[in-house]
Amino acid sequence: MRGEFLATLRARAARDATTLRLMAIAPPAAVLFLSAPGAAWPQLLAVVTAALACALVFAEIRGRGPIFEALVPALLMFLFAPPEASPGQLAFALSLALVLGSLIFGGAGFGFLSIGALSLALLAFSFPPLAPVAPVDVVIWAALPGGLLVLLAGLAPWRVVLAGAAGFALAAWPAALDPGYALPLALVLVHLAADPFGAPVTGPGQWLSGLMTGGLVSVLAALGLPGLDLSAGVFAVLLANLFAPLIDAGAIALANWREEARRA
Amino acid sequence: MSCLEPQRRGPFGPPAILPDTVTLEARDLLGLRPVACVTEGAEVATGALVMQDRSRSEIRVVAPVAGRVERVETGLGRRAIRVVIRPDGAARTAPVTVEGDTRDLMLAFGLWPDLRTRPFGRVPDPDASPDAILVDALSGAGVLAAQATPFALGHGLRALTALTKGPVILCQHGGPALAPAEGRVEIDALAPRHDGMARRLRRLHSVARSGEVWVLDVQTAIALGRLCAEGLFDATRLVEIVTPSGAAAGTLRAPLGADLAPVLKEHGWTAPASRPLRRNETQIDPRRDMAVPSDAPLGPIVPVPALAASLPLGMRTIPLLRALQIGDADTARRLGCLDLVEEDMRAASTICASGADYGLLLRRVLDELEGER
Repeated sequence: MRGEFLATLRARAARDATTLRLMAIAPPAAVLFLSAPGAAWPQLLAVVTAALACALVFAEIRGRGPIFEALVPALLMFLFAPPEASPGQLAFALSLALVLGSLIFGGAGFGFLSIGALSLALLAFSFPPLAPVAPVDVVIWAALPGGLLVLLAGLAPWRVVLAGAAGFALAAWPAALDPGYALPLALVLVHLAADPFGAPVTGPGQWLSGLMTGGLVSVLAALGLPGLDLSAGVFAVLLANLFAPLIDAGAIALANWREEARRA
Repeated sequence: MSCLEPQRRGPFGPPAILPDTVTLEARDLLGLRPVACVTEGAEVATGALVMQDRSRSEIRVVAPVAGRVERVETGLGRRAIRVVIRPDGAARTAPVTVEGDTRDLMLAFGLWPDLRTRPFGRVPDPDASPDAILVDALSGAGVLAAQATPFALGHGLRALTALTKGPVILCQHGGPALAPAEGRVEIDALAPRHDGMARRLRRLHSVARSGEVWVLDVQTAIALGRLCAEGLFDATRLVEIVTPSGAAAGTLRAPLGADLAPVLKEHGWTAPASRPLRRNETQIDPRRDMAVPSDAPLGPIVPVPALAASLPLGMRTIPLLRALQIGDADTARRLGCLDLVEEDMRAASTICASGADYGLLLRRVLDELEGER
């Protein structure tokens, strides 16, 4: 029964990708909203409106949808954005990320970057003090079931997550390793690094990309911060995304070479 | 050399159904330009010539039943589209005079068009010789037919060794061998998770880099065995019917080209006016017929493990699907598309959210690569 459910979930994952990803991110977003509704609603309204408006404009121009996939990076931005960011700043950075990273390529799945990570990076670039922050622990705990869901469905490549954790542990060992980093790192790895459209698609490529992301999170992290430096996480993910096509091409070339050698 | 062996006659599965019409479709003859050799109203006997290839006349399509030719449809340049026969009675095995070697027999009795080459999925040239022949006993109907006639299957497999200097490999699920492995006849028995001829081909004799392999349905090998061993021409095949819920409704025996629309209606399908049994078809699942290619722009490929596992192990599925979507034949060739034919892409088309018909996209790429040869 459990096996059958898992098989059905994995078989339908591609067609229901947007629904499953929204189901994964909605609970922590809801917890974050409910923890301070008064302060959070303008931010949530800004990101949701900006995402839907951008997607709708491009859907009208192209004559085809869907538009709700733009809500995934919107909710990710809501989760990681600093509380002091104004709704206008969030809407600007998210719109820029959606248009430059996704919509001009044809929509989600046609680009090669994690739009969630790109929007947070653009926020940090455009408004320098506004660096992404890790949500409070209760929000991260609320994100764990959803993280498990996308991992089981295969929408987040598990190799990237596992290798990311290993890469971070190896690079941070032993001085900079803190158990408190585990939950925020897991959140970054599952929802940003293991983005189905940004991560490599070959098995060896996913291992390498994960190791690279985890290692870079440790290397790029600013010293002396109380928790995990989310800016390092975001830029590590973007760098790994940029290299993903090259890593895939290398993995395929290596596999071809090995096959030729075996035949010879 | 004749492949005649001591005879062994006996009952062979359920009796064949009596269809209203038998339709021989030219679209089943991939790579051929068939012309009709009969006229409307003509009487044909079982095994009589109905169509032949324009340039290689030794490749023939014969009548699976005795009856009257009801309709001959032709297209541009007298190219045959289909020939419809109204049977006189139920299809039955017919004693025939067996002369010549395996190649001559397969050509004379219309079994040759059942062969498919890999790469490209065409009917092979009668003068060619493959590196190996793979016999497909992976479908439920094929296994039932093989279990009912191990003697004929053994003869058929031995006869097929005359077509190649390489092995003749019977691909079956695990369990007891459906036929004895002797000489160049080999048995490849693996658990069902290794299903699909593309997976077997990829593992046993990949043609992605070079070479040519022929693939044959086990029921054609049985028909060849019956021809060799018993001197009987049998143009009927066992076929499995699938219900609208996706369950197997059972198997029936029908002559090639038999109209199965009434049977499908009995099993709850809203069947079209006519649904002939096509060549090498062992399972009728009308859901596959209903899939209409869409003109809508293709969506993105969501790279999930289920999609990656839809093609044989060792293939880089997602990069290959991307190459097929954009029609990059060179990349697709490097990624091993020559091991595949349209039916291998069915799972990918079902799972992928892009809405692409990868069978169609693969055919375009294969045609381009074939043209470059």
